[in-house]
Amino acid sequence: MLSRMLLDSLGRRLSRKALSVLAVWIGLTLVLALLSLSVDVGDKMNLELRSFGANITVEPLASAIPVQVGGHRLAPQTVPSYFDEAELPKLKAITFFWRNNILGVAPRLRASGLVKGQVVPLVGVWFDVPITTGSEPLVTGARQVYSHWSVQGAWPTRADQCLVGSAVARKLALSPGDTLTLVAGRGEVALSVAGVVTSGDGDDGAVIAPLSTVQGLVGAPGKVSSADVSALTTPENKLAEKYRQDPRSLTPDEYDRWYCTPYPGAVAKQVQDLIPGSAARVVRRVSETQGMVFSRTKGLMALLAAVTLVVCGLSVTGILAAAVLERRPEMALLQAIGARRADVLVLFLAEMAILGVAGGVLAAFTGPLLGRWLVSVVFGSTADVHLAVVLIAPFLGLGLAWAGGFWPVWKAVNQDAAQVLHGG
Amino acid sequence: MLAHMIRHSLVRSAGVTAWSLATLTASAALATIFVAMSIDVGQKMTSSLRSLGANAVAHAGQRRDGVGAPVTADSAAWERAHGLAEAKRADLVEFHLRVGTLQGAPVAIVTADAAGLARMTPYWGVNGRRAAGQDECVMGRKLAQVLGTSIGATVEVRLDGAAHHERYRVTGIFESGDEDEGRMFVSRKPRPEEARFTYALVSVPGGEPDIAAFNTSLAAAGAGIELTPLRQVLHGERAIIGKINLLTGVALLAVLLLSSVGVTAAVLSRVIERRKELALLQALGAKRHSVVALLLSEGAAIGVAGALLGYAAGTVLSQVIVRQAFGVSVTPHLAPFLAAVVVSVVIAVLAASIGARRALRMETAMLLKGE
Repeated sequence: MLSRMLLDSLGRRLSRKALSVLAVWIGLTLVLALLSLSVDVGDKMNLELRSFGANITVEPLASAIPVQVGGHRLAPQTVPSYFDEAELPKLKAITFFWRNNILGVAPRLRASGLVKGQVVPLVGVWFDVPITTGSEPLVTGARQVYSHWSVQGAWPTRADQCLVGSAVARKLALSPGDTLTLVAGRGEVALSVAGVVTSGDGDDGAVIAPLSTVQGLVGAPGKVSSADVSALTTPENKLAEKYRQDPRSLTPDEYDRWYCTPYPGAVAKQVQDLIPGSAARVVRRVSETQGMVFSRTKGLMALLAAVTLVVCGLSVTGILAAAVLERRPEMALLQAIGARRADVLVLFLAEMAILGVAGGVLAAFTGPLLGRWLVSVVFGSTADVHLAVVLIAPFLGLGLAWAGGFWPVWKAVNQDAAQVLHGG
Repeated sequence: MLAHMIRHSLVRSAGVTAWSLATLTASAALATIFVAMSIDVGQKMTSSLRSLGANAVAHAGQRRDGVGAPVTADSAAWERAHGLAEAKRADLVEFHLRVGTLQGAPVAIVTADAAGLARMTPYWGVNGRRAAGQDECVMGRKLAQVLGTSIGATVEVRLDGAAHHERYRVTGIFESGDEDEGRMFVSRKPRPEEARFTYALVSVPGGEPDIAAFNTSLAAAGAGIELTPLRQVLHGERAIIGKINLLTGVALLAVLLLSSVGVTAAVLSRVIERRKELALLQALGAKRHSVVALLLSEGAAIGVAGALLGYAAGTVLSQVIVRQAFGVSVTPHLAPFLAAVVVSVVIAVLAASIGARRALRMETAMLLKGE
């Protein structure tokens, strides 16, 4: 009897039922999209910290330290020390524990040269170099690691192109499209100026050319002076501080925990172990800033997502409540012809449940897709469809339908049927 | 009379009124939170990051024009820079770099006021303690490793081609990961005749535009000093704040969309409930525009109430969120209040106008007959 009445009720006034399903569908699509976004927001925001650039620097173990300010040497040059460029792809090798945390690598070879008779610092770097070792290919170099560089013109794409620092460009009257002759070490080379770079550090006073070009020019094939590494890390805590103060003070358990957590120090230590003859150091100004930003934004975004979800949920509930209120005369008529209050309540809640689940099932398809799109718009990256979000959708539809429907139905069945039928 | 009718109508369908009010209050609260956030998060983030030290380096103006040896500005220039920094509530700490010889190797020795150094380099990881006395120093880990120096050791630095020497006790070894790690820091002032390169680390409240404004002031005052923003940190900071604002914008849009639909549904159900009352009003001679005015006024009344409640709730919630994230209070602004009023009133009036349109389509006679 109940099922027949339910089917009959669903079959009537189809446009109204479609509107209710549509309301749940649209509402839940937005709710699920925001839910997908909030599930991803922590990881994505952490990934966004890569915009701070390199947080680890790798240098050869040196016997002397150059005395310099902003890239300019104040004391006679000591014997330069290098390590092998060929070691760097190991950072993405399958055998390296933190390979997935390495977001970018930019090796540098520092030298000096003559341009228009002036001595200028010369820096060789990677520009969009693919690292093919391991399962995760990575195109990396200055463009990816130094995202704070502001380049007027274009990034070099060929071995005979270079960037010039803004101070050099001013001093030597160079602009994009010009050609300069660079004399260094074993010869000279003509380089086309692809762009003028403003970095806010010593690179503003340097000529920056592809690494292979500088290696050939100064006679140091396959060698680099240092490498800047951008790594995904977690903010340091007491354990990391304890290790930094005295590594021997950690118990074996603590050491294992430290070693297997991507603290900047732990990642740097393992990078150092990976590259023979190197010393990897955490750039603490960057890593501390990343840590502070991460801790500030983590709770903030979670809180905002939660508040938004609650308000969106309330709105969907309100839409359904309004839909039920319109049908009070129908409920009153059922009671007038002998239906018990419980029967009416069950009938309408069952109907609401079917409409809610139908809207939820539709939203299970559209919500995560909208969420993916939002992630790509906000973070410019792809996101996975979370199975949990898809599975929860019909239940969320059911919950919202009942939450929105119960109160108006309960109110209606407790009203005087005659008065409702009379239009009071 | 109109006010009386509105009050009566709102009280009579208290359930729907409460529901509409709750939805509008929630929307207005979220609008308040999001607008307060978009104004405040950037400022609070920037100011909390200032606790991590400098965001610019100051040096003699000529250095940026050339690629040769760095140039040191005179003390009068630095005094002017200090005066301007004070006026702009910026923190400027001078560093004097000399080249000395330690164990036969050239070493950079930097003199800075101990308190100023601590303010500008709180991110250093110091083993031991920072130097406090005139005969103490802190040494970068890289330099300490090369020299084989440990905490507690005494080092002798030769200056001016070995004509003069200074002795320091190493109180701490620090990690910074930048070129400071190859230097030693002391607080004893260099002798006036000693060659040195002077630069300063500056913490300017705000971001790159504020640093640019400071630079303009320095140029206008003819200080001969220029600021170079530390772009790496500032760029990252700007990128993150941009993402937060984009996220709050997306969330606000979703909330506004759903709130509009929710309130419209509530208003329509109110119109349906009151169809007889509205028909009776028309039968008694009320003009169509009077009915529309009544419904719109009701909408506006709920909208204003929702805005006030929402603003109050939103302000409290923003305080909680900002205090939790940054440990400081939200700065009061007019914009969140205006956002709450606009969001709540516009949604309510829009929904009421849809309800009014529906009310006018009803057949008065049929409704009064009870059909």
